Amino acid sequence: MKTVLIIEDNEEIRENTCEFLELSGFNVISSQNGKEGVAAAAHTRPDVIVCDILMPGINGYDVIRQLKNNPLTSGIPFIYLTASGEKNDISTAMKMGANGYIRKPFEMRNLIAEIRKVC
Amino acid sequence: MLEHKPIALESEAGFRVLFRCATIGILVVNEKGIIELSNPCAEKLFGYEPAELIGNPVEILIPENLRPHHTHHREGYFLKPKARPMGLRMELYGRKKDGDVFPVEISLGHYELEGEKLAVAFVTDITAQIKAKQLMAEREAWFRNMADNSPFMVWVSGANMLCTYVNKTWLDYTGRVIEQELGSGWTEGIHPDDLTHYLKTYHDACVARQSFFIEFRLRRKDGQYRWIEYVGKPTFSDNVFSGFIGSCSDIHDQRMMKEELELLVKYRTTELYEALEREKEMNELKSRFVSMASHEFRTPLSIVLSSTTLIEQYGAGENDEKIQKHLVRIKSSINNLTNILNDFLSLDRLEQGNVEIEQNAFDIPEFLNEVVEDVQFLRKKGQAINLVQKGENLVVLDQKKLRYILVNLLSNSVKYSPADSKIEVVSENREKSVVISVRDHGIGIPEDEQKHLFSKFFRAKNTGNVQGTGLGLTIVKRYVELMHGHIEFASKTGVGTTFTIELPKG
Repeated sequence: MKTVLIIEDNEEIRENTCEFLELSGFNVISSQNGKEGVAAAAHTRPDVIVCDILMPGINGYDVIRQLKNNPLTSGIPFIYLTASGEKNDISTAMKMGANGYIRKPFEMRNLIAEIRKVC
Repeated sequence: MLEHKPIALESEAGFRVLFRCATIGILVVNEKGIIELSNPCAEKLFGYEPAELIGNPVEILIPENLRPHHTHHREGYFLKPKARPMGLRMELYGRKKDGDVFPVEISLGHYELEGEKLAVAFVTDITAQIKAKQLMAEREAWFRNMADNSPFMVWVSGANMLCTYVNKTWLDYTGRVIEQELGSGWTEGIHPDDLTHYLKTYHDACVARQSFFIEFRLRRKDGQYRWIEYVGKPTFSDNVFSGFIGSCSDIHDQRMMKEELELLVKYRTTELYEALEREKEMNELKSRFVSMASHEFRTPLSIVLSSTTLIEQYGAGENDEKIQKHLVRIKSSINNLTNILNDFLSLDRLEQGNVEIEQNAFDIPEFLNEVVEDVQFLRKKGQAINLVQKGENLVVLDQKKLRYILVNLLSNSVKYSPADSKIEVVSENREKSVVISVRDHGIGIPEDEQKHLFSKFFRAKNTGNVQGTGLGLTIVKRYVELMHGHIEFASKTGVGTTFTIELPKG
């Protein structure tokens, strides 16, 4: 069973996403902010990380930067969730080493498809 | 060195030479007023034959009306004879033999010979000088008349830089009299802040003997300091610098108007600049708003979508069909909202110039099938979408934008066509371009509204309550143009519409 780490500050989106992934047969861990997410990634070494970009405190860019700088987490596939419509944001995210992105609102099946692409 | 023996001019013979050759008339008159001697010059001057004058009274050489005075002056001279000019501050005249009267200058001398007193008169005909003087006076009078009647203020200065003349126009302007203006008196009227600059300019021009031009403020007779334009040109007499002649005119009103205009232009430019800055700020705000709104829309939409997806997972028991129908509607609405949001964002990006072409190679038939699949959920009962593809399968184009274009065109065809109607998509991969047409048998676009078809937020009147933002075709056209292609359409109400796009290949 693959493990997915969800890093999302919005409680409803985080809970809905975790719920659906569990129903879809994934083991799910969640963090409500970037700092906790980075710690959880290092601790649990999930098979894939799904992370929001715009979060209070450290944002998604900072999260991936920190993960890539840590040998323990640098190889974990990383998928962005973004509510931003800006092409620049997505371009920046991909240049930082993300493996894919999902734009909100998203069909759960699309998220599953992206996750399955990378793990 | 050779010895020089001067000529004995002091001998009688020598004086005779001087007497006869002098170019000035010489008359020797005795106490009784009788001419004792006359030289050839005097005889010629008065028009007499040689020696004709001798023995005659000197009064024959005086105009008749002046003879009594002359007799009196002659007698007075012999009482106290001395060498002097005759008739100081008087105009003297001689009379020729033929009666002609002419102006003369006379100097007197005296001597005594054998106990007899004699007066010597040295006479010069000054007719030419008088005429020259008269001519000069006439010319000066003419000049003064011209100057005084000139609308411009005229001034003259001498070689010593001091003013020698200003015309009537000047005096009328300043309200001063000539005596106040001559010399450097007129400079009292120059504005104190401009005086130094004027003096330097004038001084430099004098030294260089060159024309000059300057603007400064001069006090008018009402006390107001007004801007004047002051011009001077050097004058020369026999190639010798003799001063300046110049003119000036009141340019105060023009200058004030010019300054006002410049101020106004500056003010308007500032206003325009500020307006542009505000516009820029508004555009930035708008972009930020759009960006923010995008985020704010997307978050609740995500929640709704994920919730409905979960409901789908859990849906069981009674009213399953109804729940499913509502769920479909909710999801459809969410998708519509998402599309609206995406359209707004796309248009904003296009207007900001932030959209680029991203080309990739793809298979056209496969791509067209995907596009048809994307609009399946919109299809009405019995609607059929036929695909025809000509030419090679592979093409290099901006696939994402082409997908948007065709999904939009097909969506419109599906929305505005009745059930059981056909929609044809024909794609032709030519040598240098790809031409795709989408043809439907739908409601068509009213002819009088066709010119607005690609305008933002335009919806034709016959669209009724069919959902649409009026942005789709605007974005389609912009994308086509961004890809250096063009789009055409032909439409007739009640018959249908065909859109054709042609895109150059990458």
